[in-house]
Amino acid sequence: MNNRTTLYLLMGLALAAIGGRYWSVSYRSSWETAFLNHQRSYKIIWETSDDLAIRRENAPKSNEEFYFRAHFQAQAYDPAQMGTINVKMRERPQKNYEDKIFEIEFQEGDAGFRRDQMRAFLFNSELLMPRVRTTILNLQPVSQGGRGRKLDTGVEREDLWKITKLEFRQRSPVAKR
Amino acid sequence: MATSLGIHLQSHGFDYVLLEGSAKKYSVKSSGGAVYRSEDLQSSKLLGKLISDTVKSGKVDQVVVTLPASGVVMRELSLPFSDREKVMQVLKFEIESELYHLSFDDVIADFIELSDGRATPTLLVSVLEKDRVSAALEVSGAADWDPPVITLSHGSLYTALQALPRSASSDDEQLETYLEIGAESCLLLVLNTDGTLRGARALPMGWRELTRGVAILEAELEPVNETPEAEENADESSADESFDVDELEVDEKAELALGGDHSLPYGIGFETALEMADDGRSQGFLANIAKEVRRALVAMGSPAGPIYLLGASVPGLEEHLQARLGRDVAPLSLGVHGAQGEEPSAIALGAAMRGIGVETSAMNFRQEEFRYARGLERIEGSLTLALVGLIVFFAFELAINLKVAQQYKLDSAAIFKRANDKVVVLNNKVKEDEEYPDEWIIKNNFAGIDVDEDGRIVLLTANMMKAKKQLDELMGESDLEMSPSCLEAWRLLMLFLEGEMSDYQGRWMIENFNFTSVDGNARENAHVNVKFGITIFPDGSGSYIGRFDRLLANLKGEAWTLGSPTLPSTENAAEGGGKTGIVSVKILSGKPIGPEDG
Repeated sequence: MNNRTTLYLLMGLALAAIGGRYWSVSYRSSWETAFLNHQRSYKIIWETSDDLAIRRENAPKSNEEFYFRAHFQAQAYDPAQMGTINVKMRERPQKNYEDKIFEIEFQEGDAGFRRDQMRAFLFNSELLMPRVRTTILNLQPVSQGGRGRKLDTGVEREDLWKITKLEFRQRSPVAKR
Repeated sequence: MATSLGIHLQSHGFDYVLLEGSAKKYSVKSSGGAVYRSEDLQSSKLLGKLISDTVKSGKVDQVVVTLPASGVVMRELSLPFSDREKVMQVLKFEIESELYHLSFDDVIADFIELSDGRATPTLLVSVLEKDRVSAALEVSGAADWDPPVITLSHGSLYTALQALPRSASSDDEQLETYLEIGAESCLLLVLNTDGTLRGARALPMGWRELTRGVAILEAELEPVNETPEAEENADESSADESFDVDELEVDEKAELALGGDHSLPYGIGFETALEMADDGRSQGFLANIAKEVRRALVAMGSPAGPIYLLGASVPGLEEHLQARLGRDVAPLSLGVHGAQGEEPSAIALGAAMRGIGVETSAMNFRQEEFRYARGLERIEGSLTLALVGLIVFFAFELAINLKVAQQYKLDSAAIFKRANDKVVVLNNKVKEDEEYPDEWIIKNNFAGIDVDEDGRIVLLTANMMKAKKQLDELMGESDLEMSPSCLEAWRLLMLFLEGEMSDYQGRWMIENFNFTSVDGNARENAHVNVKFGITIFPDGSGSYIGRFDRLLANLKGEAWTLGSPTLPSTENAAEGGGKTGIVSVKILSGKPIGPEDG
């Protein structure tokens, strides 16, 4: 192999090396980008995964009446300690949505409830069930041991209230049912 | 139009011819020569300067240097092939046995193919010492030339003889013999009638033999410039030269290996030599020439025909040879003349003719380490080094990039695995808990899907976001307008009342609340209708009646109040001496807020 051939061979190798170098830069760059994407995606997946785990835990798993009834009863019984309730449900279909209306009656309602009990019950009932709002809420003060009788105006009373009427409404878009 | 400079570089002087034109048509632009003084030979720079000053060629396209054939080993060699490339591969080895007095590595061999009528090609091989090639290149370099061809005088003379007119077909089968009288050697060439070379011999004596034994003081001799222009500039050149000698740092020990007989005096031109030679020396010279020519002709098979004389015109040579050899002898002109009618040196002319493309002899002693490099070849060494460096650099960079990319790849795979593990945990929960619908399973198995390794996490993220959207749709309100919340209205109202009545010194109490949510319509925004009974007792200042008006006014000023609150009338409370009234207000309530917000 003479010098000229060697030179051409080296030129070929140099060209190949230059080509290889540009390929390797591109290869490295693509994997660097992929690595950064992985980092970003991992953060999203991690956060979303935690978020989903919590929200799924609390999410309604059914659209049946019994499921809603169980939900309201659970909120009245445990955190709010308001005793047993009766839930009557009726449906009112509209053009783009459908309302489920839940009328709540407290079996031990005459004894009255404190405002913090009522707030906890209403709040959890709305928050833990999607698209639920309190649509009717009538309260009147009662005296302890008064058996739910209405008090005269100006009469001294404790912070006890009787829920004379309570309705929740759950609204769902028709297409999403 | 190409220009070609042919230089016949001899041991005592040089001849040159500058041709202009092409191989078919050319003219002599200038020609001439000079003889050296002994000090000129001490340095290639001095000699190169002398030559370039004499030639004054300006820019030339081609330079061909021809060296005297004296001292050159010339042998005839028969080979079964004549292809130049193949011959050159074996030539030196074929001739090695003839080089008993020379070192194999110190010589360069080349050849001219002879046309002697034999069945196998006959090559006239010439072996030249490398020292002479090196010296010729040094001198040329000093004159700022890099001749691509260094040849020998018999090759150049052969080329020059192509200038003679020849008939395409001749009935005369006589051979043509040419005798060129040179300074340090004579050349005897025998050509066939078609102009091809039949044989060549270098006779080891030239007209400088006329000066042998003549004692002269070189300092008394003026440098002999044979060019008309050079003669005119002789004085000027001498002045310049004295200056340049100092500048050029002459190496006293240097001795240029230009060949020739160093025992003969330098600085003597042909005319001077003739004047200095007495009759006895001249006759001896003529006799010796005749003897050498006879011997050479015998060696070449005694070719018949006349002998043509070229080169130096030694008086009496023609008659002497005619008498001694018994053949017709006549001086010959090649028919090529300079601008002023001068006859240029035949050998220098042949060299210049080769430069413009008259190819009769491809003999070239720029071989091995003296090989002529042009263009890319000139930078071959540094280019090779640079290329190797470049290759190494890029190879290193390539390796580093691959290594780093590999690490990124491994890290990405590890990240994907950890992300996938999170999804697996979610999916396991869905599988284990019967309440969880199956559609909550997030797809994380990409087997069978044509997706790049780095694209898997993108798909996984997309699937995760899809699950989130699915849950959002389940839990969220989307574009659906929801009924306003009574809980939120209660919260807003209580916050307002506590603030409003905080500066009141007397007692106050809520008698009842009635909240009713109303959906929005074309006439009115969604709101909560609120009716609440409030009793305010006197605070002692008797100004409590005005609190109702203030309460209404401030309630109206709230951002969430729709329209104007109303209080139809107040009446005395059943107990405590206070006033009681029923306030009606419409509250714009948004999303419910947590108990911690009040």
